Amino acid sequence: MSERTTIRFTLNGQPMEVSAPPMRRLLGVLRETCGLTGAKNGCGEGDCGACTVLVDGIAVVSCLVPAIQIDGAEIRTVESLAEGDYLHPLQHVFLERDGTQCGSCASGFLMTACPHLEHGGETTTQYSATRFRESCVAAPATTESSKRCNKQRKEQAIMPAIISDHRVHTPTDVDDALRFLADHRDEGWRPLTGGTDVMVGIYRDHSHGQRWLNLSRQHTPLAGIRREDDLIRIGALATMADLRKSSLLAEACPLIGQAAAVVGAAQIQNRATVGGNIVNGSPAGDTLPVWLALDAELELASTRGRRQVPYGQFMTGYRCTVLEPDELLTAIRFRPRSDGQLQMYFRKVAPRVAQGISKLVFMAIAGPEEGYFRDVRLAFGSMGPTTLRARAAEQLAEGQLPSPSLGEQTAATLARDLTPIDDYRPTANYRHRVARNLVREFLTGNLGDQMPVAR
Amino acid sequence: MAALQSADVVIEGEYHTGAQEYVYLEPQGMQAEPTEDVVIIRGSMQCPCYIVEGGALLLGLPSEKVRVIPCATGGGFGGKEVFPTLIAGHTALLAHKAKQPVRLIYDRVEDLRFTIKRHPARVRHKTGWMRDDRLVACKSNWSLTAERTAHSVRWSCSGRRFMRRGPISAITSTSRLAPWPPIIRRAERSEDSERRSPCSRSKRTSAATSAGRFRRRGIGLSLFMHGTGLNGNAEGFFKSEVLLRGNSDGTVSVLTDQMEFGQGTQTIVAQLVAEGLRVPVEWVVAEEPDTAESPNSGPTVASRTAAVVGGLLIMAGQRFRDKVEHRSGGPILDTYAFRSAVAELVSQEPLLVRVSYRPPSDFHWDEDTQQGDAYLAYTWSCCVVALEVDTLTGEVKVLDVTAVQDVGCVVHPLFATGQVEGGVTQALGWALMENCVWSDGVMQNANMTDYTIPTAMDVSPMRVVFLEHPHPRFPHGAKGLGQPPAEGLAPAVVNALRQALGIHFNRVSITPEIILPAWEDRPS
Repeated sequence: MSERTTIRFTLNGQPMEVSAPPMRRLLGVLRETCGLTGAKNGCGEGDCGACTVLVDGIAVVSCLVPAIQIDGAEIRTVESLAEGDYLHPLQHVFLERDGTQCGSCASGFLMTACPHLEHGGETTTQYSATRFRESCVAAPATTESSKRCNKQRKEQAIMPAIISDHRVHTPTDVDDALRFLADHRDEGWRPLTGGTDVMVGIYRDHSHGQRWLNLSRQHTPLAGIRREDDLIRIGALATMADLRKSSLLAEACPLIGQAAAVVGAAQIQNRATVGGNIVNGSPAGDTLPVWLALDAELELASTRGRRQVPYGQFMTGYRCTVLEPDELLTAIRFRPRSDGQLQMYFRKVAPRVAQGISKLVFMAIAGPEEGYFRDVRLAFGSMGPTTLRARAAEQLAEGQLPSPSLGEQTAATLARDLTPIDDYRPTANYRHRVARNLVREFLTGNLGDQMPVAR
Repeated sequence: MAALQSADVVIEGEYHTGAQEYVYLEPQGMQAEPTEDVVIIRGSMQCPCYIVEGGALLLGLPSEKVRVIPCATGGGFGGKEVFPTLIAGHTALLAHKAKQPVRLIYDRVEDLRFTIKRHPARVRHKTGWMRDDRLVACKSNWSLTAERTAHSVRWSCSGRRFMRRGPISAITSTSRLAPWPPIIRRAERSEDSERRSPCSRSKRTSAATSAGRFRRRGIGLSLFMHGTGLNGNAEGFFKSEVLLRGNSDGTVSVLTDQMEFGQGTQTIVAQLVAEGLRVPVEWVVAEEPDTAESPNSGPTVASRTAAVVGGLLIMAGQRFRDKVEHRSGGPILDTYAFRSAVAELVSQEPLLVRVSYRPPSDFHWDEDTQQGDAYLAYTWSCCVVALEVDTLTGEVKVLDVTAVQDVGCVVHPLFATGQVEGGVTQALGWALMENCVWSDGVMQNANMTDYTIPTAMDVSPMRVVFLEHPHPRFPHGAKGLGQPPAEGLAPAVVNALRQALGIHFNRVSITPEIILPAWEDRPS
């Protein structure tokens, strides 16, 4: 059974209408349907950046954009840069300075750089270092899913998946979405936002027959970051780029922006949403320990009404949450902590500086009161089936002065709370060692001011 | 071994190196079209000549009935040397039988699972030294495994990469002492004296720069060499050819099947011919390889294009000029006059010059006894690495790399530098990050998220230094450049880690998962 959808969009200024399976990669639509082969397929899961194009002026990796989400969008590819014989200034510079070697990924570099040249934007060294040079990360799939995938692979001959039998429904607004979910409660509809993890899953596992509720950025009530009385409200469709750039968040809790900045690369951050990161339910989600440590509340909506769930109670197991089939996550709220001299520390340990799946994410907050630890929060990602708090260590540290002996004492209790999986990415032994070291040094008072982003 | 027993110092060690995925830019892919006369094969590849030979054998056709037209290829790194022949075979056979065009393109996961890797190795070395620095004995045992990949293990273990004692291992496997530059003897001496002295280790460890509470720094150096071109008599066996053709506008076309995949082949091919012709490089056209026209210049592997084929190109250019001058009745000093002469001669009859490789008269290799010159020349290199270890996580940040190589002659400075920077970056992944995880013969981390190669953010500032001592076996003196830069970083990293942590690692890749337990559980 093959479901195709008519998709209308503007391609390099020309109106286009194509018929495609809704979950087909934009990359495939461009190369095979539209015949534009400038965007290249390198890794197929958002790591290399060779397939970068602009969707409504924003650089994205086209291998992770489902066709349905470009309906009504304006797409620009590398083919649009030159006008006749006149090269775009970027192409000119690449040519003049021998900016390419084999040239396979040159279109990716050009399209990543293009919005910055044309619209200004962030041009700090940090920005150019992190965005321009790297490519990006695909979202976390863990051992369980890769095992599952291997099993499937052994059972079926590996054939390229033609993603034809996924079904997608695009609601007109949030209420329509909630009504749809209420009417089709038992049919397994799942929200689709940036798609940066969903698309990796679909293509790596060759999954089919899934149902997706397409929530686009047009659903404005679900986007945006704003102050609500003494709380900060982040819409579930806010992207990692939104989090990174928000001056409100930078003031309220700078570590949120830091956590968002280590999610993949620019192209992923432009599409990955905070709601997707949370609802996805992977313990390796880079931002998740932040919500856990901040005691953030999640707003879950359905036609039955709205309810608030503390983030700490949201995840119940590996990729399991309390979200009902008819519910959507609409927002995250947290109270900025400003009690005295807050000590905060965020660290993502990953296989490389950028674009790595976390081996461990650690977020610590403590409010020292006249030097004593108060309200200590030690939150971990990738250290168990869900994100976890090191409760025993937190209790021990409460009301104590930072000291090496406290550090040693608390570090020794971590094994009670943390239960990481043992595999090649990486071993449980390694994860435990790093967790111990970071907690020990935080409670010894050695890490408070050091807030490295990644390495 | 008597010599080992009489040595003043015996150094012994066992080293392990991991498999490395090549990570060329686009996954493997081929397309075959049957026509009335020939089967046309297009795709991403390093060696069109292999595919002609393989296709002819498989289809039972004479080799001129298999035409290979390479597509633009995004990097090869060795991974597009042998394997493309297999996919070309699959598509050609299907196309030939079905009389329909067939295209086969792997996605990245399929590519990682089914294609070859650079094989992992276990190496045991035992070397005997005299107090006056003489190496008197060497016993070396190598075990290379294909790790259940389709790649057959061949005999050439003479040193794509090896741990620490590059020169010694290379000598062992090539059975002849190459002349050692003095710098290597000095360096080996200092290392040995260090090993002899029990107190030097602790002294050095304490000297490691502390860069903050949880950071330890170290500097390491490696010295290594790499053979240029194919080993033993293989270059003589291949008899590589290049062909120059005069064009009606007086320009000269170069036909080779040396592949461009980012290393600058197309540019230097034109440059070298222009050098031989003594005309501006713009007047030389490097034609795209197409086996219907271009001669077999051998595979684009083994750091051989600039040196071995490059030598032929210069000679071809010179002979072309001689031919033009001879036919025009004497020397032509003015370049424009030369161009007019070419155009004039081409208007009368085709003007072709074909040159094929012959081993230099002083080159001897005995395949039976494995004695003689293992390679035409060696690229001598040195790599210095400064790094910093985070002792809370075992993560390593490379702070600075200096790469020095004597390549004989730098043909194109920008491309040459690019080759070194790329090779060092590839080696950085191999030394510190990359790890093929196998289970039941299947690569488990078969995607670019889990098989982590460095991004530009993992790379340190790099200083690239070239020494140019022209080698007499090549007209321009250029030696191999493609592979050598990838070899020295890992041993330098091992040495830098030894300085930073006082721990000697005998395997790569050295991931944080290996470093952290070794550091925390070290004997106090």
